[in-house]
Parts: sequence; C-alpha cells; structure tokens
Amino acid sequence: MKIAVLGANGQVGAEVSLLLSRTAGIEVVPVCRNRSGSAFLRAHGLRCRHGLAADPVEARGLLGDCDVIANFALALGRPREAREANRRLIEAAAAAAKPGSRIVFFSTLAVYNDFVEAGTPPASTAYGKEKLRGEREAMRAGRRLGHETWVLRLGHVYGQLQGIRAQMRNLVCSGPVVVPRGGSLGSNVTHTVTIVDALLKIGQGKENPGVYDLLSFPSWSWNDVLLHEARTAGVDLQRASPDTDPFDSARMGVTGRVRQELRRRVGALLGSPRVREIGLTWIAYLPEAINLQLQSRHFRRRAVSDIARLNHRPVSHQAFGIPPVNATELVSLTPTMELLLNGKGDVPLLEGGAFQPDLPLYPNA
Amino acid sequence: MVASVGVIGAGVISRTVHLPVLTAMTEARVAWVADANDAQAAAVAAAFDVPHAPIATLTSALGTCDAVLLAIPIGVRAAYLQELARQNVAVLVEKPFARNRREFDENIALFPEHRIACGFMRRAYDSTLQMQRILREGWFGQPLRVRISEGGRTTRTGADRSYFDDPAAGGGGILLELGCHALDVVLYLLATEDHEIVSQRMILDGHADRKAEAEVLLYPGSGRGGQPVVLNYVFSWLDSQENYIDFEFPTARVRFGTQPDATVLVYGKSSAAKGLEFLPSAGGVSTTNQAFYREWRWLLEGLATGVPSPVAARTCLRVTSLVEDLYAVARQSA
Repeated sequence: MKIAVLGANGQVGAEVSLLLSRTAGIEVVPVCRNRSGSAFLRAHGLRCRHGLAADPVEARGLLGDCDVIANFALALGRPREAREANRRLIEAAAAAAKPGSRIVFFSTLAVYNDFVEAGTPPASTAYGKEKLRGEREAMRAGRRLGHETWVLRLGHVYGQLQGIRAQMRNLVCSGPVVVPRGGSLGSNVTHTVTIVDALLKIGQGKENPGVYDLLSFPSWSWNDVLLHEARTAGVDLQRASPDTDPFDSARMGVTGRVRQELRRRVGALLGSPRVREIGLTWIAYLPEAINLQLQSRHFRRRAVSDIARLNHRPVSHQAFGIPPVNATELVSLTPTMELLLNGKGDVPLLEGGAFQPDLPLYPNA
Repeated sequence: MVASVGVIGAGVISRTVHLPVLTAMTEARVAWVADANDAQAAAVAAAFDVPHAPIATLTSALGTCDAVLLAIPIGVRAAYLQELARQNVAVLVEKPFARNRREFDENIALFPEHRIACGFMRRAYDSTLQMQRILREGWFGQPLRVRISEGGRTTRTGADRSYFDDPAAGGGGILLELGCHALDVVLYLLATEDHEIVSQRMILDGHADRKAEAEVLLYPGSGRGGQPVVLNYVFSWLDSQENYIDFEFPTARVRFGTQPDATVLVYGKSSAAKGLEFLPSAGGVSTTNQAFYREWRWLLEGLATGVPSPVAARTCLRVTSLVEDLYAVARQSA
C-alpha cells in the first residue's frame, strides 16, 4: 500500500512519515515543496517527492499512484492567502488522486469551541475555524470526485519528535508536576503511533468514511501520559495539586464569575490612591479602637494576599487545564500502549546518514 | 493539623506582621495575645478578633498552645523561656536571640533543637537562597571579601521602640538591633566557624551604638583554620547610605539589597557598568509577610517532624558570638 503524506516536513507529518517507513507492506511517499523542507527526512533514510501539491498538474505527479493521501499540510501566511492555498491543495489532491484512493484530512480538536482551558468562556480560534473550513472542503471534494474521505481531528500530538513530548519530559524530570485532580482527567493526547494505526486501518478498508476525533486508544489520562514519560526517562513521577483547580473555577458558572469580577473591580477602586487618601483623612475622625481594627484588617488582608502569592502553584502545562473531549472514535484501532510496547512508536533516526535521492514522480515511478 | 499559637508581646512587630500572618495562615490559629500592658494586649486582640490572655493568667494559658511567639525585649525573656520549657511549649523568639554566649547556652539548653527558633527571617529571602546557590555551586570560586552597608539617617521611628534606650530591657544599638540581621545572613551563607576582629569602631550615644563599622576575618575552620574571608561592614543610623551585601570573588562581585524583594546583581570585578540582574527564582520569599509566614511554617513543620528548621535557634550561635565579641572590643577601647 502506497501512502502519500502531504505536509511531510511538518512536525507531525515528519514523524508519521518515519513511522510509516518502517511498517511492513507500506511504501511511504513524503511530499514536500522543496528539498530544504525534506532535508531532515532524506537525511534519515526517506526518499521524498518534491513539488507544489496545490498545483493540479504537479499534484498528479506527486500523488497519482498513491492508495491513501494523508493531508497534514497547513498553509501559513496572510489569512486570505493561507485560506486560498489550503483550498487549492485540498482540491488538487482530490483531483489528482487515482480512482479508489482514500483521502484523509487531518484536522484538530480546536474546531470545538470548548477546547479551551477550563474556566475560559468557549471561543473559536482562527486556526480552528480554518481547519473546520478545510474539513468541509475535503468532504465536498471527496464526494464530488468519488473518493472516500475521512476527517481525523487530532488532540495534543504526542510522539518522539513532538514538542509537547519534550515539554512533558522536562516536567517529569524537574520535580513535582502540578496537574489538576492528580492527573486523572482525560488528556486529549493523540500518539503518532495511533495516527499511523488509523492510516493503516483506513487503507485496509476497516473504517467507514466520516468525521472522527482521533485520540490515543483507549483515551489516555494525563496520569497515563506522565507515568509513561517518567518510566521512559527512568525517573519517579512526582505530582502536586495546583493551589486553584481550574475545573473548580469552571464550575463557578457565569454568576460566580461575574461576582468574582465585581469583587475584583470594587477592590481595585477601594485600593486606588485617590480613594485611599480620602479614606485615610476620614478614618482619623473615628475612635482609636476602630482605627486599630481597620489597620489590623488591612495588614491581615495584605498577609493573606502575600501568602497566597507565595503558595501560588499554577498547573505545569496549559494543556492540563483543557477538559477532555467526548470523542467520536474510529472502531478498529489497536490499543496505543500495545503499539508502543511493541516498539511501533520508536522513530528510526539515523546518525550521519547520507541524503536520499528524490522519489520519482508518477507516472515515472 | 492546625497549630495553636500564643503571642506574648503586643508591640509593633506582633501587630504589624506576626498577627496578620498568623491569622492569615491555614496551618495555625492564634490562641491568645498577652502583654505586660494588658490594655494594649486586649486592644490588639480585639482588633484581630482573637482572644486576649491577661498577663496574670499567662501560666495557665500557655498550656493551651503548641507554640508561642516571644516578641518582647531581650532583657525580660528569661523567665518566659523557662516557663515555656517547663510546660513543653515550642517558641519562636524574635531576634536578637541572645546578647552573649552564656545567655545563648542557657536558652538553648531549655529546649530540644527543633522546638526553639529565632526570627532571622532574611534566611528565607529569595536573594539569600540565590546567593547560597552561587556559593554552594562555586560559580565564581571562593569569596575573598564581603561588604555590608546598612542603615540610614534616622529621621523617624514610626513606632514606640523606647526600650531601645533602656539598657535593662536589653535594648542595644544598631549592631544588635539591625546589624545582626545582615551579619546573620553572611555567617549563615558562609557557614564559617571562627572569627577574628581586625578593627572596629562604634559611635556611642550613651550606652547605645548609633554607628558601627569593622573589619573581621571569618575563618572556615575552627581555631582560625583555613583561608579567611574578609568582612567589612558599616551600620549607621547617622548617615544616608546604600543598603547592600556585596560578595567579592576573584573574577566578579555579587551584590544584593537587604529588602525582601531585592534581586541579585553580578558585576565584573572592576566593572563600573550596571550589573546583570538575576530574576527571582530560588523559591524564596519576596515580602516581609511571606518571610514571617515561611519562618512560622518552618517552625511548625519542625514540630511535626522533629527536624530542626533553617531558623533553629542553635544556628544563631555564630552571630551571637560575633556580636558579643564586637561589643566587648568596643567596651575595651571606650
């Protein structure tokens, strides 16, 4: 089975390409716009195709012989320019794909408005909106051109080459990890090994086309993620609770948040220099006992605030505060841990390897 | 566990820092406030909404406490310490801990090491912890010299500290009341064993010193063993001056202020340029309230674990000993 990877020079595309390259029965076709982009992959033993996949003519040579087209690409630049580039890429890829080939468009859980930190009002992001638009265009193009199409929404992508994995490694190696609820909540983590598994199962015809959330299977808690990372790093996992649980404040609701904001504003007003000066003038007219009491309260409030600042223990990573999504999952996935224990997540990196030559374009391949 | 804490002394330090901090702590509750001046204690207790213990009932009140703050002049503490020890109540003593080695030994002998602490809260400052790391990890090698400058022209006192002028109450001059803090930080950081006073000068106002300066050699080993670090200090209530502690190394100088939020600055050895500033990061405190909170946490944790805290009174021997010797030399030369 021949699997093309669009956006193969990206963080996720590169790792998926490397993992696919060591999968029996799979021929991976990493697609990059230029040789600068593909240098890392070529240095680690992969042959790549180069060209503009958004161009209908070039797309044919890049993708025309592939059974599965995995689209990880996301154009950057000015918003209008990027949107147009993403649209052209989706269209051209679907048009260039051979009959019967399957198309997988990789999206993100950020398409959900509540994929934000607990306690933060639900809101869409420009990134999420752009991906959502891409999802619709991919499904439309697939229908129009007769290709089965999947949309897979990824969470925090986790794997040997992924940034979040390096961050977790640092956290477990540098003392207590401050994580809400002892890490028992779902992590929304998607291991790259599960992305590869999903592509294989789709290529083998074991999944129905449609829109899915792709998380590690079964879904990993933060505790699973951190324990796995600590075990790999050879350290004991130390956990601590944040001084304020973001999921508690999320339960406060709109009224609670309004009340809290009101209290903050009144406090700021009373603490303003002008109001304070007026207050000090008038307090002098009050009896000494009340003066003493007011001053003591002021000192105590200041102590409470200082101690709270000293004990402030924010969560160690922003992702810990995002609530788990209620995922719509593929049905044939192999458990992520099983794949990892079988070494399927190990990225084969070569030291000092020679740059591989280009992979010939279709129909010369 | 919430510890029950009694407060003896309703003066300015109790009222402005200890009581606000203790009443803000979740780990402690104030059992009562007592003072030789009952009316003052009652007013302060009412202001903080905590019980007042009349001084006449203090002996029985002690039994209700896990720990006591002793924030009264040094000259009148002995009887309280003996009673606290007799009733097995732990104590945090405001600095200075003792005026001489004899008094130090007498106080220390009364309590297990983890049950008596002294309020040298500057040990908890972030700048102190950063300097401790620089020294421990030998970033710039062994220090050659330490300079301390602290004080300021006294133009206001802010609070009634008239016991400063009362030799019987143990009120001392600037060295005992202010200088002991910075000296304690330096001795705590260097962990030296012995000292030799090379020169010293005090400007006395009756019995109290208003300005003190000296050069002292601090030896890493006992019996004046090892390569000494030179200490120069000026403490003054007569001059306007910068407040800092400056460590000189073979290749660099490291300086920090004496306030809780002071940052650590590193200078080239002879550079006149502004130093490079370290961000606070050592896990220390940056306000006075936080420093006193940390001090109380240390003592209370020590009570639970039996482990002496970083402010265990026994660790004040070096500064007690140095201050006693400095005053002795001053008296001889007066």
